Amino acid sequence: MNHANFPAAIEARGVSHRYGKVAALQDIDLRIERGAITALLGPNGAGKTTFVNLVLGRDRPDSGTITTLGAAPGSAAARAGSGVMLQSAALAAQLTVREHLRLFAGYYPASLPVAELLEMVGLEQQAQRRYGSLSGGQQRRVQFALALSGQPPLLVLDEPTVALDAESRRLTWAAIRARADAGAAVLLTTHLLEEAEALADRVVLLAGGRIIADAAPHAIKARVAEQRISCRSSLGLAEIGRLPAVIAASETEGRWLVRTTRAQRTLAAWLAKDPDLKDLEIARASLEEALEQLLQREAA
Amino acid sequence: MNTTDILTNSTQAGTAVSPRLAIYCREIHAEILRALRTPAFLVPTLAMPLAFYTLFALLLAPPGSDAGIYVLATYGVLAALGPSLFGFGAGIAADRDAGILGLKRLSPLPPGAFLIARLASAALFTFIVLLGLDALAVGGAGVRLPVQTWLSLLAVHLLSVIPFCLLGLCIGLRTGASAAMALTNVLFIGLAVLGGLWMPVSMFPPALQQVALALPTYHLSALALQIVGHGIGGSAWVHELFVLGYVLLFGGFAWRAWVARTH
Repeated sequence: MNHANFPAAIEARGVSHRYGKVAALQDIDLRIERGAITALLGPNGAGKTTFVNLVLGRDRPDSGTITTLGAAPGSAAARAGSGVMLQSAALAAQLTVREHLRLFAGYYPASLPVAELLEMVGLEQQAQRRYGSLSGGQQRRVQFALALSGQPPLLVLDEPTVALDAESRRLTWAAIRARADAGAAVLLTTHLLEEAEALADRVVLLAGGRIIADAAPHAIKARVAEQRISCRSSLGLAEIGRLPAVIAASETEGRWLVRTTRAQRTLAAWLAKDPDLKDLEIARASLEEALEQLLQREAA
Repeated sequence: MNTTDILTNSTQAGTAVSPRLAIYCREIHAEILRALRTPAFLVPTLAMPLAFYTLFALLLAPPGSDAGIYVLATYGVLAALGPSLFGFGAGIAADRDAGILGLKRLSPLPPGAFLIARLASAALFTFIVLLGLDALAVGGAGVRLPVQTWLSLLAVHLLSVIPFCLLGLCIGLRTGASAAMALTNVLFIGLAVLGGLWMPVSMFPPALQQVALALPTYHLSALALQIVGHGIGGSAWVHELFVLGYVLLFGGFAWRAWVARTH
């Protein structure tokens, strides 16, 4: 399918949304194009699901405008072109996997055959089982199959691989990639940097309801690739601060905690000055810590 | 393909009638399958009116009484009350809590199809119970009525589904799953007993008789009783007006809740 003439799959301009006193999204400008996978990445509470809800028309922005496939979010035109997988969704427990797929495929004019869908999500063996008897991961895969069933030009997937084992995750990734290669726009949310890295063409980093980075995954990774060195050393703060690649250093109870962008370089220089360095530990900063770091940089 | 293509494609599918109709039919089929596979819904709603008819019209009725006809008219309303209230009230609240309704509303399924499917399912199960009641009435209680009367009675009983479903929808869209279940049970018993489905309203103390006048079950059973020649007072058009009022009232509340609820 060629989507070259489409307006932007999703276009958000100056979108803000509050839940009570909490500003869930603040002044978001975002254009999602076809033929690419865009990952909304961020810690819990960053505003990812809020944005998805606005894109789907489940909530309306307090200010700003948003269009989905050139139409109002949640309108019949937008729904006809969207395949959706929500974080907190369920299907009727009493119907079988096949019955669910057949029912949903019937909603779309150009739906995939049920057998093909079953294969794409690896549920051929479970086709006759009732939804209620499936494991959590299998249920998620049925929901994913429903999102794919109409070959929609827009896929909106809220944390699609939560509760999936490694094999199902690979299958899911492959199916998402195939949709994007076929020209669909894919918007997915994830709190896993690895998932964004493995899958996305573009990563939009959200924190505190704001976009703090919008770039290709490798560029994002470089920005958040911070490591922590923890050890005991006889060097003083001034000397440690001058080591290469060091961002910050602090000491508690005789133990140094040093943040660095390149642990090898920092350590090589450190060991040259203090060969008696002890109790060494190196850890990669968590996404949350890295985001905090990015946010502080933004604020500065 | 662009947006207008999508629109025209779906409109073309719509104008061909059959694809759109097919969506409704599949949705109705799925809804009926769900109900058939839910014994907790099926057994009480189907078996209760039949069991009560057997008890009160066949086993406990004094010989020579026309309890068989009287109870047929009132239990037919009960037959509509059960599937409607439980399917829409408790059923939709549960679907909403689980996120089933949310996903449906994000799909291209026409918004009304979900409700039509539920309504059709409630009407079908009501119809099955009505057939059972009729069979018991004819075979067990020896009730004989002109065909015209049977059909009118059937129509009143089947149409009772509409106000009851709308009432259920108000509950289903406004309350959480567990509260909806409790509320549905209370309403089911309350509307049945106070509306005079079990015993004639004329046997109530005067204060309760006033309460009955405000209930849809009272007016629907009054219409049904009038058809079988056991009118309990009041012109048919007054009862019809009350029923219409309930349809508008419940429909209005349900519509507001439907528009307000997007999750």
